[in-house]
Amino acid sequence: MSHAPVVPDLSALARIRGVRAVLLTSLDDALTIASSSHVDVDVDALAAFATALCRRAHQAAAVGALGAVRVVALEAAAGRLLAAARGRLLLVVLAERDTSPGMIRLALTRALEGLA
Amino acid sequence: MPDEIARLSEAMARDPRGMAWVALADALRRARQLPAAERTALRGLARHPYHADGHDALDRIAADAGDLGRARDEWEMPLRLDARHVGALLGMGWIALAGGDRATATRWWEGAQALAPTDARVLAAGRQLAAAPVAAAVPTPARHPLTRGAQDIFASLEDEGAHAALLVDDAGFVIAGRATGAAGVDHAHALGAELSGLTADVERARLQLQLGAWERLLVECEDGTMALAPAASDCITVIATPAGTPSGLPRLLVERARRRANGWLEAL
Repeated sequence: MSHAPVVPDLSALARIRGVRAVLLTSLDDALTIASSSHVDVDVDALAAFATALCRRAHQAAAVGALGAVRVVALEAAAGRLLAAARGRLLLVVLAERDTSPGMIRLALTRALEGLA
Repeated sequence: MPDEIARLSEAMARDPRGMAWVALADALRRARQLPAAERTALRGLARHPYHADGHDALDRIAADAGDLGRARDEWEMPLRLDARHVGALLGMGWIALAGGDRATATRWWEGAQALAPTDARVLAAGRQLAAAPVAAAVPTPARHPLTRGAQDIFASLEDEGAHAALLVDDAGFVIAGRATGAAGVDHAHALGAELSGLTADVERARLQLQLGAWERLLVECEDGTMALAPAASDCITVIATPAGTPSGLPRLLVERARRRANGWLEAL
């Protein structure tokens, strides 16, 4: 008998060129559940700020009658932050500016699809 | 009232680290024991400096003491902590009404009403606002001079697929544009207030994660996508597109909205 994994495989995301960190966290407490990152990335800070941003995005989406949030993407001069939610889990990617956002978005949603 | 104060004082004595101080400060205020109310609120805020309801209570004490300037300054604190704080939105409206600025008071009230339409405080404030004499209004300089056609500066973007397009200032006030939901309800003010908090979180994230200046924020949802971009004068532009829109279109539209907003702001 096979079961869907509880934690997604982060390796495919971590292998994308330009990705500096990938982590799985909880929207409830922002604690890191699993991660793969470069040594210069503070994974706990990334989890905390990505969770706060996504919670606020959920509130704004509710006011705008847009339904449940699927993906949040912050594009900035020196990098990108993407996060996708499934239930109370949040998968977060921090990447260089020139990384393809379409590629990360696709890998993010695929990684979450196989979760239990 | 004395029973309520006694009960809350006992609760404070039983649990000095608890949160009964907020209700006690407000009960003391309503009993016109303003110095005791202020001491209670300040002691509580010393332990919980980021408690929005605690700041709200202190602001009401300042307002009741007639110190409207301090109340106005202080009421901005709970709004910075929580842009959806209904009490603070109503408080800012009350300050505006006390100063004779009915238009600004109405704007604050509409923000609160959009968030909590059945809240008894909102309903009471609505009645107070309706009863306020129009003739008593003393015009004050608007923070942003609204020109004719402010609602229509993004009209062509609506033709291109955006069902909401707004220009919002750093305090969450809508300057231009509109956001009308499927039921025909205008939720521009509520959305503007919420976006103020969202952009504050964007600022914190990009500073802490050393991402540099932010260019766009995209929020993909089940029923649509929202895209934000910073504009001139510390404002933000936001557009929303319906579900099924190609994922690249919101980025394109928000960039157009940003350029249009900047041009419009420069022309003011």
